[in-house]
Amino acid sequence: MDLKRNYYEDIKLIKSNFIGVWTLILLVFLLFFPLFATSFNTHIASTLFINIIIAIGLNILVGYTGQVSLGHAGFLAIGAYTSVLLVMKAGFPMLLAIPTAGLMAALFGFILGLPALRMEGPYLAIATLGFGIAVEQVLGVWDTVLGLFIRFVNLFINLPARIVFGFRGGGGGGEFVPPLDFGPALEFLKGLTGGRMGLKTPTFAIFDTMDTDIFIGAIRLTPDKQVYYLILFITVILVLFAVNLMKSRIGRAFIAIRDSEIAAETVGVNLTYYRTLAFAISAFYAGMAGALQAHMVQFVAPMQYSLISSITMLAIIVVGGLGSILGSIAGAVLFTILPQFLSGHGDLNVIVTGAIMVVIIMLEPLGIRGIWIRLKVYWMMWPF
Amino acid sequence: MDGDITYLTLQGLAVGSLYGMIALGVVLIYKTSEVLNFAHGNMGMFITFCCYTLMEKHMPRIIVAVNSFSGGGGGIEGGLPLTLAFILILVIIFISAFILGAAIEFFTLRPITKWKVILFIAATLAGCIFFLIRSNMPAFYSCLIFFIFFVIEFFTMGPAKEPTQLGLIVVTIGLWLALDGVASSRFGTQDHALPNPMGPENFKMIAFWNIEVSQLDLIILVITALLIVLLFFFFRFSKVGTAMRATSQVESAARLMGIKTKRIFALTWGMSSVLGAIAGILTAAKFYLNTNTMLFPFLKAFAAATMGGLTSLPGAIIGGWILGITENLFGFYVSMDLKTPFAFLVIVIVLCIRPSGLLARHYVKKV
Repeated sequence: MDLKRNYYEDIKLIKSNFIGVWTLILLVFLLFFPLFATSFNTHIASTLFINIIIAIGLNILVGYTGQVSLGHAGFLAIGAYTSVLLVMKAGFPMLLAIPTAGLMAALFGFILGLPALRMEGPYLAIATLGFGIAVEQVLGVWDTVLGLFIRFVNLFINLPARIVFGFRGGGGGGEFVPPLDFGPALEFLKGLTGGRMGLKTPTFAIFDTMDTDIFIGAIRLTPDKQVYYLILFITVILVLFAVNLMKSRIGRAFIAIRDSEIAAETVGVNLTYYRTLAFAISAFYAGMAGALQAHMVQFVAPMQYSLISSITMLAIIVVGGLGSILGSIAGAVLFTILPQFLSGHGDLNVIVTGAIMVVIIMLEPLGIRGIWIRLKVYWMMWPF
Repeated sequence: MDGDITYLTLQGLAVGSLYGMIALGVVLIYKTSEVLNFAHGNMGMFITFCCYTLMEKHMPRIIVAVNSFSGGGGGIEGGLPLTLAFILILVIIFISAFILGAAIEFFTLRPITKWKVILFIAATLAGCIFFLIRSNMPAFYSCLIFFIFFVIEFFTMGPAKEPTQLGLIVVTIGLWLALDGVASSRFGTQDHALPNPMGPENFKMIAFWNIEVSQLDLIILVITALLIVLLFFFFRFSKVGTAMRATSQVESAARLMGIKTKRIFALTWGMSSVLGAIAGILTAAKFYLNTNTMLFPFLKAFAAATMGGLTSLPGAIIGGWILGITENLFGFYVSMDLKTPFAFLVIVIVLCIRPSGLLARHYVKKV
């Protein structure tokens, strides 16, 4: 049904006028949504956009490149803390801090991607899971990590002296070099992450006046609506970027790696480069989303980035549809709206969410995207 | 002598044995059906809660039953009737664990058929009626939605659908969440202490020469040793064990040889679930019992299984031991707070050096 006659048709962003018109209607609707929605619904919509960013980023890694990640909350945490600390401690403007947070997460993604080159399948899943848990725990006990680091540094610089003069233990004899005093640097680093209790983060301040209302003509924009527009803007850019990326040389390389690594390598796809790139891009999305989320809810704590959130992200894209931007959006919508209907019923929320995951995968292994494709084929072929 | 290195090592060995036991369940399932079972820890937790309920609420009744059966008139405290009742409870628990595991495999992990959809329709309809009678409206609406889902599926269903590998993992994650929700709604979220079946007092310390061991640690070590021997003989000499090994090697060839591979899958899940229940009960006895008891032991066991190689049963136990001992020593000598990150650091380093675990052949993707 989706017959393509040439390459240019294949890479066209908007496939047909029909799709174009509907996309335009959706965009206009999203633009005018906060003007008649309540403050709560605006907040839900902003959360939805953040989930869409996360899902698309993860889908680039899992769905398109075929590498499982169970530690994506770690990237989210890195992005959130980077952005928050840059704004609070270094006085960065927020519009600069958020992309920087994304780049920081991308750096970590690149670093994690290096050992991931050697691993596959379940082994990669466990390694990334370890990364996610380590990030969460280290943020919670940051001061201990710092103390441990200083102890090791002092041990290390005294090692030659100890080897020469013997290990006599205690403070005497072996302590040839006085312990390093990190002084102001230590004072700065101590309590940086706020430990397990987390940090209260600054609100959005794009023009330094984010706590006041902006008037455009007769339209009044309260702070949460300004946040909505900012997140909407970033989401649209990131979605477009992902859609275009997947039609480019890089995206095709990712898909080739997913389908068969050996075949991809044979035709000249540089595995090392593209696999770490997939990790970096995916982490960039997660970092951006984490930064936006931290500023939106005005609170950041390690427990927000637990294993269960990593796993929920994976569930979003598998239920939505692997290897599809539309699928990630559908999954994000389902997993954002569903808890809203069920919140207030306690454990029923968790049970129904779990049951929906099981049922959708059981009935339609391709996820919501599979259902959509089946419906489309059914109507197009109709009397047959 | 808390800082004694032998004591710490033994303690680590006991905790490591728990990890190993959980890891055995994960490896069993991964070996035969290539599913990473994320619900394993919560299956164990759920069964342990059932065991706790039986021991805490229904112990007197069971003792009376045992007494009337054996004809004796023994008291409720201690002695033979208590032990007999405990054994009876364990038998009930293991049978129900087996059924739970096999049922999960049968209902959620196989490609769906028309008969199963009818079963689901009946089950959700029964749920609807049940919740309507209890006038629990939110649960009723949830059941109704699932009912409509399955009815639509019944009329529009195409051929049986083969779920993808990642899809199966997500199914187990969904089961994890659902079991978690059911357990916390049924049993609450507070901590419980599992009663000691050997009498009201706590576990004592036993001294061999200079080495002190906790009684419970010793029990854990003995049970682990027994399980290892049992599993070894089971896989080596029994008919079912051989069939399981054959199925895990090449499923289609095993089917051609006349092995009912689907039944083998269900059996494996049941066995794994029983292992999970044993590990869950011991973990709850060692620490405490709440809905999150099994979370970190399970994750570490998972990591230990991966370190051991995911397809090797001795690898799971050895991985568990290595993890338990290093973690315990690190926790005492360096930092208690960083115990968990350190454990995962060890895993990542081991995986960097040997990407397919310590004791496994190189990871081969089955096509």
